Amino acid sequence: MALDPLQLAGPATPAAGGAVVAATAAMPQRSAMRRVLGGLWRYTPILLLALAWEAVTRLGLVSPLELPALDRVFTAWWSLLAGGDLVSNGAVSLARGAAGLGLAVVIGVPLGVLMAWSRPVRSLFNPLVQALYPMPKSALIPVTVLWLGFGSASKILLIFIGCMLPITLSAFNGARSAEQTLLWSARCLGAGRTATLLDVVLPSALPEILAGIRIALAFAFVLLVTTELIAARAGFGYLIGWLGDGGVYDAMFAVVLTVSLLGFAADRLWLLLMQHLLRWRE
Amino acid sequence: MTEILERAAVAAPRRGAGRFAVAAGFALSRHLRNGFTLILLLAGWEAYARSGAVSEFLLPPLSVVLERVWQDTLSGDLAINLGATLYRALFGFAIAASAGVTIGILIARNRTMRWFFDPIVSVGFPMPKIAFLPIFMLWFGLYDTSKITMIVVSAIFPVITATVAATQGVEKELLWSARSLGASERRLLWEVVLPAALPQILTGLQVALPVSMIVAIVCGMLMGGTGLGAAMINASRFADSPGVFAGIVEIAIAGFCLIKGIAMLRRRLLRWHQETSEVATV
Amino acid sequence: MQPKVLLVLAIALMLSAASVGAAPPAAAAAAPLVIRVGWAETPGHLAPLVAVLAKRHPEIMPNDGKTYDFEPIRFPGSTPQIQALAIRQLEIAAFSDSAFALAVTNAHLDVPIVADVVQTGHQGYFPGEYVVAKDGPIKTVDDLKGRRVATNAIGSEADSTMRAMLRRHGITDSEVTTVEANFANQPAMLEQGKVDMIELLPQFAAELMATGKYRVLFTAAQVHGISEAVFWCMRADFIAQNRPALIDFFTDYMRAIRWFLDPKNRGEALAILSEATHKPLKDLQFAFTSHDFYRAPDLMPDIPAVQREIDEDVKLGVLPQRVVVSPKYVDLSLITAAAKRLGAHGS
Repeated sequence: MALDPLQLAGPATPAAGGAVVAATAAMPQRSAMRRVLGGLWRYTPILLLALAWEAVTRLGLVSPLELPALDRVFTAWWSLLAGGDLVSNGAVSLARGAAGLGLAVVIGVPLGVLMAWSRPVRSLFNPLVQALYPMPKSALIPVTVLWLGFGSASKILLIFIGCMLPITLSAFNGARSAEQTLLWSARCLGAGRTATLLDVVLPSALPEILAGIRIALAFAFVLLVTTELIAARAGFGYLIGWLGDGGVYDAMFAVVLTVSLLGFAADRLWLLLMQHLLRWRE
Repeated sequence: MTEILERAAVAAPRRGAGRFAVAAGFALSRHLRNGFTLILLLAGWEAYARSGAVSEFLLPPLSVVLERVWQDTLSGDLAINLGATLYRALFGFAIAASAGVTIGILIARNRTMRWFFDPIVSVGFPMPKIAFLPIFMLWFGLYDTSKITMIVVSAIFPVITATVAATQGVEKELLWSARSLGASERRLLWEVVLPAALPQILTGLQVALPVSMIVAIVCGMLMGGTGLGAAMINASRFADSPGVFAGIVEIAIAGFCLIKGIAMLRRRLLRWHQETSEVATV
Repeated sequence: MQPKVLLVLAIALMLSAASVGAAPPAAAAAAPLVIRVGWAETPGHLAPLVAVLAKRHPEIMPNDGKTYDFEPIRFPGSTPQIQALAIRQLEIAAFSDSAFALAVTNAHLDVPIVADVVQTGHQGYFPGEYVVAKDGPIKTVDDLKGRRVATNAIGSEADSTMRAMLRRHGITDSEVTTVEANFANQPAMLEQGKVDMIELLPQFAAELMATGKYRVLFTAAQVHGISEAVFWCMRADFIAQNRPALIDFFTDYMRAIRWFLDPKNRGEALAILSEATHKPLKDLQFAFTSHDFYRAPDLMPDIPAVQREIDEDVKLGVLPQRVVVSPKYVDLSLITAAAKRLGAHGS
C-alpha cells in the first residue's frame, strides 16, 4: 500500500515518543532516581501549561464560563467520580471499545495473515480493503444507529469496522515481509505449511501487528467518543455532551480531560506491552 | 510461485517489451479480479435488498441509493453540501499543513522547542481530540470557526510527527557536504533539508488529509448547518434511509477523490526523487 | 514466556472483553409484556411522572409488573423514535405530526395513532413559544435568515412548526442553521448568544422571562391553530398480538392521567414533578393548569387536526408526501376499552 497506515503511529520510534524509554534502555547504569527525574523533566511543559491555565483563570483574563479554573475542574471531577456518574459511563464506554477492538483483532489478524499467505484469499478481500480504505468510518454512524439503535451494539459494530482496517493491513504487511531466507530454511527443515505459518510467519509479523493494534487503539477511542457524542444514552461522549449542553462546564472539562488521558494511557500501556512482547527481538 | 514472478515482473518493467507485456498482463488481470469481487458484492447488496428478507427501511436497494445520489447531483444539493464540507476540510488542512511543517522543523532543529513540544505532541497524539469539540463549540460558537479549529487540531499532529522524523532523518552526509561547500544555514534549510525531508513530510500530509475530511464530517453531524455530515443526520432524523446511504456513497467518493488527488500530487512533486515504487497503490 | 503465547493470551483477554461488552442486557421476564414508551420532556409528556406515581401508589397501576412492564425511555424528540420503533426497540412512540407522516412514508411503518399526549392552540392554554432576545438583531421572522436556531430534534413538533413558519416567510431550511439541543439547555444557549432563537417550554419560561431580556417572536398557535402536537403511535402488528395486556396498560395509564389532572392531587403531583425534573416548586406552578399544554380528556386525540397539519406541511414543503390518516392509521380501540373499564370520570 502506498499509504502506510503505520505512519499514523508517529512516535513509535525514539524520534519523539519513546525517547525516555529508549534512552534509559541504552544506559542501564542510570539509577532509577535519575530516570524518574528525567521523566518529570520531560513532561514539565505540560505542568507549565496547567499552571498557565490556572493563572489565566485566576487573573480573570478569561471568563469562568469559557474556561473554568483548574481547581474547579478537579472538584467537579472528584464529585463525578464520587457520584458514580464517571465510573458508570466510563465502564460502558470502555467495555464498548474493548469489545469492538477485541473483535477486530480476533478477526482482522488471521484475515490479514491469510491474505498474505494465500492468493485466493487475497484476491477475494483485497478489493474490499482498497475500497474501504478511503472511506471515513464516521460516515457509518447513522447507519449503525439505524440498524442497531442508540445502545452499545451500534457502537461496537462501528468500532469493529473502524479498527479492522489498520489491523488487517498491518497483519498483511507483517506477514508479507517474513524474510524469504527464513521461509526457505523452514521448508528445508521439513516444516509443513501450517508449521511455517505459525512458527515463522506469525512471529515475523508480530511487530507490525502490534503496531497496527496500537493505531487501532487510537481509532477505537476516537470512534467511541464520536458515536457517543452523536447518538447514545450512556458513555463518556454522552456524558460530555450532556454536561456541555447543560452548561456544567467544569464537569464537562473534567470528563474531556479524563477521556483524553485514558486514550494517552492506553497508548502508553500498549507500547510497554509491545516492548515486552518484542524483547526477544532485541 | 506466481507471486514471485509477479513481483519480479513489476520490479523490472522497463527491461524489454517482453517483460513489460508480462507486467501489463498481470496488472490487467489484477484490476479485473479486484473489480470482480466488488461487483459481486454490489450485486449481492441489490439482490438481498430487493428479496424482501430485510425491510427497505433498513437496507434500501443499491439502485435506489444511486438514484438518490444522482438526484442530489442534479438538484445541486450535493454540490452545496460537498462544497461546504470540502471547504472546511481543505481550509483546516491548509492551516494544519503549514503550521505543522513549521512547528515540526522548529522542533527538529531547536532544543528548547523540542523540549517544550515533545510531551505535548506525544501526549496529544493518541488522545481522542474530538472529545474537545464541545469545548470548541463553547469557545468559538456554532459557525465554521469551531469546526475549522477542530480540524486543525486533529490534523496537525501527524504533520508535526512526520516533519520531525523527516527533518531529523536527513542524512548527515548531505548536510556536511553542503556545509563544506559553503552553504548558509538558510540555503541549507531550503535547498537541502526540505527537499530531502519532502517524501516523509508528504506522507504525513497524506495521513492528515483524510483526518481533516473525517473531522469536518463529524463536526457537521454534531453541529448541523450545511455539509455532508449534517445532511446525513437530517436524513436519519427523517427516517430517510436512501438519504443516509446516499450520504455514505457521496462521502466515500469524496474521500476517494481526495486521497487519489494527494497521491497524484505526491508523485508529481517527487518525480525527481529516488523513490521506490510500491506494488500496490491506493 | 514465548511471545506467541502472550499474543494468544492478549487475544483471549480481548475476546472475553468482547463477549462481556457485546452481551445483551438481562432479558426481561417472559411473562409481563414489555412496553417501552418514548418521551421527550416533562411535564408535557406525563409518562415519566406516571412511572414515579406508580411506585408511590401501586394501586393506581395495579397490573404494572404483572401483565405488562411499563418503561419510559427518554429521546431527544419525535424523530429518533421512528428508528427505535422500526427496529423494535420501542413499543409506543410519542410522535409529532411530521414524525408520524415520515414513519409512514419513509420508514414504511404501519403505525396507527392510539392516544393524545399534548395539544397546542387551544384558547387559554400554552401556545408553544419561540423566543428571541429583546434587543437582539431578530425583530421579525424574516430576520432569521442566515441565523442559528436551536431545536430539540430535527423533525420534532417544535422543529417542524418552526420550519412551517419560516417557509411561510420564504426562508428555506438551508438558509437557517439548526442545532439540536435539549429543551432544558436551550435557554442557556440563548443567554450566551450561541443561538438566536429557541423553543421555550413553560417549565423554563419562568426563569428566562423574568430577566426581561427576551420576548416571544411567534407561537405555534399562530402557525397551526389547534394542533394535535404530540400523540402516541404503535405498530399495528404489536397491537394485534398483545391486545389484552395493552388494554390493561391503557386502563392503568388513564387512571394515572386522571389522577394527575385531578385538582385534588395537585400538591402531590407537583411534588412528583419537582422530584423528576430537579426543579424547585416555585418554577412549576404552571403545571396542570391552563398555563400548561392542553391535554385531551381521556387521551382522545384530535385526528382531523393531525390531517390538517400534515396537509399544511405538505403544501409548505416541510413534508415530502401526503398521508391519509383516517381510517387506516387510527386505532382508538385501546383508549375506548380503557375508558369503558374505568367508567365515567370521577367514579
